[in-house]
Amino acid sequence: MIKKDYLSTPKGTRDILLEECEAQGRIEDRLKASFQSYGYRPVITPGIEYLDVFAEAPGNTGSEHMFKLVDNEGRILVLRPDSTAPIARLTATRLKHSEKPLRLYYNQRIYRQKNLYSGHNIETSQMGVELIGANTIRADLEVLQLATEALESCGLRDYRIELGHGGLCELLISRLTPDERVKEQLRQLIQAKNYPTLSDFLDTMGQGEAVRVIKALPGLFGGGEVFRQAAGLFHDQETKDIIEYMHALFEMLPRFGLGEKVMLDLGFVNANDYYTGIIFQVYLQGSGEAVLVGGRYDRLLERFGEKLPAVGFGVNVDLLTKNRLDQGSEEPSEAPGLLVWGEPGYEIDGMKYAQSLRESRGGAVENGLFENLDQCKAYALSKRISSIHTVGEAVRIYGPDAEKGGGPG
Amino acid sequence: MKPLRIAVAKGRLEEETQALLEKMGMDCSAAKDKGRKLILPLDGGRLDLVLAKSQDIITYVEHGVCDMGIVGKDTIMESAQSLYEVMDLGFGRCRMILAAGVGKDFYQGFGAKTVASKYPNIARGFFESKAMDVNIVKIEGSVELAPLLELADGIVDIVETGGTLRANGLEEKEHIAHLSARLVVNVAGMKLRKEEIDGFIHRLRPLVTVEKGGA
Repeated sequence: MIKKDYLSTPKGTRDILLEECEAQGRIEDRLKASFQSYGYRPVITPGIEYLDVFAEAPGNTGSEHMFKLVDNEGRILVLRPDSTAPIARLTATRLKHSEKPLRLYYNQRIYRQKNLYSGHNIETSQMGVELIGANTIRADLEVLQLATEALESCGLRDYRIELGHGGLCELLISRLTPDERVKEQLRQLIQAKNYPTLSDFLDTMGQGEAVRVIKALPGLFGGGEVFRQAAGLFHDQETKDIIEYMHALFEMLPRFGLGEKVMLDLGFVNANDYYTGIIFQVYLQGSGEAVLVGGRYDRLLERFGEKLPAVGFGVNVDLLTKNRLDQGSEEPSEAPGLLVWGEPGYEIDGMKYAQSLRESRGGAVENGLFENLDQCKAYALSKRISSIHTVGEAVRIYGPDAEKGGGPG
Repeated sequence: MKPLRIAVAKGRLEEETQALLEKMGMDCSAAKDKGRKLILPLDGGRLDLVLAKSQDIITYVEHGVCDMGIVGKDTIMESAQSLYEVMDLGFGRCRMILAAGVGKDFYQGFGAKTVASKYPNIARGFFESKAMDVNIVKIEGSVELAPLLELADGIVDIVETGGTLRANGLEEKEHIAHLSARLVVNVAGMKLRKEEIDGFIHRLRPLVTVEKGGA
């Protein structure tokens, strides 16, 4: 049997057409407008990069999740699995001498291998910002404010923000054991909120301070009461500083109107040691994945030779578009379509007339490409175009425009 | 408010789950008289019970179309990627083991071994942790057949009593994991419907400890 691979897109990819494409475009415009209004400026990075750029990529992107190619010198390239590392690279090189803090945004697709038939796409449209060269609470607040404002500009109201700290869990685990395999097991158990197994596992590791704290970690999850639970738990300066910082930040968020929406998770697990400070994820009703993921990564730029702190987030535009369409909040803007047909011999007049209409009124004005009026009418009917203007000796108007006496004189 | 949705594997776990939900004081009459329905409204419409195959429960919960699921640890080990595994429910207890022919030394010799299993990921993980190279063959039905037919040197499978192993001339060579039914929760749901899910877990927890003690 001959497989007709040229009739379909690769598994995990898809075409985005017409209404959905238009809806996605509008969402991108709104996000872009939000980013720009805060002074963020656009960058585009290559679709392929050297594998080495992503040695410590965020999220679930071990190199086994990347698409690889080999260039003609035998070097390994990957399809961009994430935009943050390439932006760190370009900041540390080409924008090395620019004034800090630097505000950058991107709108590009990322590629990650997913399990076959798992219902996840390998190609995702992602838009996001990076605020580079500032590590104050002001910077964290700006990014949180922008994240919510950008989402709300797309009409989102019903969402939850999960706020955690990328350094806390890792710090505690590394105090408990130097063994990477044991660390990984602990991370998995904390991540999965698997309290019973975690507790049994920790019982084999003695009764130290770190054991006691890690046992409590997955439970440090919820609203402001988390800080009361955490109060007696942490005794050394390093962890106390983290808790105090999170508390201060959390107390400020209600003034953005986010009080009800923010949920703390101090047991957040930083799977590959990428985030160093706050981390946050936004969840929508009816979707199992986070629509926005962000956080502080103060050590990433060091890898590229510049010691600069940074914080940022990325929005999953596909998921956001799907949510908006599902909620019915992305009704196609009712553009009153219009067809202009030049009678035989009046083709150019017809096209010039159509052009004058495009300038004087909104909505799409199509050129009629047929040889007679009946074909134009049949086409207009099937496309739900209500009015037809014909251009010949005189201009004749059919449809609602005729009653209005519309069209330029 | 939408009802919470919990997916349960059809068959034995389903009965145990139903008993547990009744102990929580829920009205399970719809589940008793279910006919061919796959979604059963329980507790006066406050909880939807979804009946599915165990692998699918992972899929439904990970995608967030079910908020919670009750599924065996074996399925979680084999196919779960990202969900919260919040509770050991204590029932459906059994073990994952490596078995081979009675009296045979599975680890003898340097030739690469062939292992048959319904759980290729678990088998691979187990042998990777021993830094052993094995060929893994996925079998869908009775795995015990594979060594009998000399396709495999051993099997990785679930045992409860060991009866089937003995009847087919196999014996346990190594214990891999203890298994039982677990409560899993969708990652986003844990945030979006925290109060409801926490409430469910709190009502469930005391009942489960009793079950464990009795087992």
